[in-house]
Amino acid sequence: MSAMLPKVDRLIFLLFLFFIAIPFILPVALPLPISPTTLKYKEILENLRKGDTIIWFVDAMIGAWAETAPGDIATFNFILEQCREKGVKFVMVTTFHAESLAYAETIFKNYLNTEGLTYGVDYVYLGWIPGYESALAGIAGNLPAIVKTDYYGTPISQIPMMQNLHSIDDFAISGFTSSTSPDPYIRQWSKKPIITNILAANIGWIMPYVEKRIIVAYLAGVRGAAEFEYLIGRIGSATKLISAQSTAHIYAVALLIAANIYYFGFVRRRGEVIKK
Amino acid sequence: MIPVEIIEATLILMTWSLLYKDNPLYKLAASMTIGLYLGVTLNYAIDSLNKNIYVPLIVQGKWLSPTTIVFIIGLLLYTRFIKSLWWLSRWPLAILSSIGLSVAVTGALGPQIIAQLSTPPLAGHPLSIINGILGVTATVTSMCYFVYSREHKGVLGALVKIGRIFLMIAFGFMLGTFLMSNIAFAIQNMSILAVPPGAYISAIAAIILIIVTSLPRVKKSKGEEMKK
Repeated sequence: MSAMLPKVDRLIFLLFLFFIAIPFILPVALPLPISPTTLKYKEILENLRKGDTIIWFVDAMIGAWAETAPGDIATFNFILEQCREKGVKFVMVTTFHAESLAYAETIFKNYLNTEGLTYGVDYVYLGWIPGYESALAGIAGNLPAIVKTDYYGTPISQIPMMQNLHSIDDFAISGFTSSTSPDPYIRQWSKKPIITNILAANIGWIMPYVEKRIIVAYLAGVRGAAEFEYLIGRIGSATKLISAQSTAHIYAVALLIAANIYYFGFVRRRGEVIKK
Repeated sequence: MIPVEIIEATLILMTWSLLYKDNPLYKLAASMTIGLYLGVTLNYAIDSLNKNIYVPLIVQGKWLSPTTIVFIIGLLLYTRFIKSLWWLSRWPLAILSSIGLSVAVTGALGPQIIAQLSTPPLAGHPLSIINGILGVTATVTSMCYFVYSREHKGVLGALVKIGRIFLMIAFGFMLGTFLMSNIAFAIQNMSILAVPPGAYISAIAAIILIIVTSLPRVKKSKGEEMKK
């Protein structure tokens, strides 16, 4: 059997690809229970009041697009809805890497519904402020000293909604999207409630902050994004991907059971025979 | 014009072809990715330099500003290419690392150190005592696992065994969530490959794969026949 393992390895991959393709060819609606964290996430965004400003650090890398972009698109459109209905203000900024700028720029240009909103009055994109944690600290401490222009190169002194934004105290809440460490945002922005859209792989990382209520709500990868899309009634890419993800999880569980049956039923028993 | 999905599907399959074996198509896709990555990064870096250095210093002529000092410190990084001046490149590095460290340490004190020690998780909850005991036990026993200066026997051996269980649970959780993330990437790609027009490329790739994998067998069987 051990000689066959490389072939089994490839067969596992091949079957995996086959199974995840099924929901795209024959759409199936698998049940999706809504987790309390996603409910809280929506509630926090809904509770923003007139004049509140939310700042979002869009620092994910392009490689994380599949996991974080559906959540970002749904979240930003929901925030823009709050801007339209309640007069909330929305600031988007990138601090991490040039690649994060490509990620944020793609969302900003192609996926946001800004109908009925005025750029610079209701929402603004500040572009890439290099420096990551130093930039985060700078924006929290003295925004006008760090951010000179917006994404289009317009001086922030000429952007109406930026006139009242000087430091962390002027923001009601902050949010971040990250495909790496969540720690810098916690270190520099914990003075105000933080929400996040993060890779499912990094959930363990943010748990100490969630328990201490520094991060007040979060979206966990595609699953969280699909739940959020369902809650806000905007069917997006996460909803389309979640059935395939459920299929993949069923397949993973089946593999775990099969491997354990094989190990305890054959390998272990054979090992005992050899020992005797 | 070729639909974008066709190009995407072709590139995904070129990358996935590594699952069969290393081949020129995979190498081409890998080189294209690196080239594209460098190109995009360079573009944004130049744009940033233009916005933050060129415009304020050259276009607006604000030479007497902190930007000039930052610009000079930045330039010092490149002195490492001049043998007699290479030592100057240490200064910007020292400034960068010291500022980074001070920003991180001052920020860490509140949320990462004091807040984590102040109240136990789930404070006020009936299970908080059990949770607290579990937290302390997991920390102590997991640390015992990494004690190499003593043989893992007796009390230490028992603690190490418990620590190993906690480590296994932690790694299992990490692996599970990591797997969940990676599955999402494959599914995103599959959403392009399984639906037309990407599905046509997938079908062509499947046919090529079947032909390629069956070819060596034909040759082998002919060789065996010759031997016979």
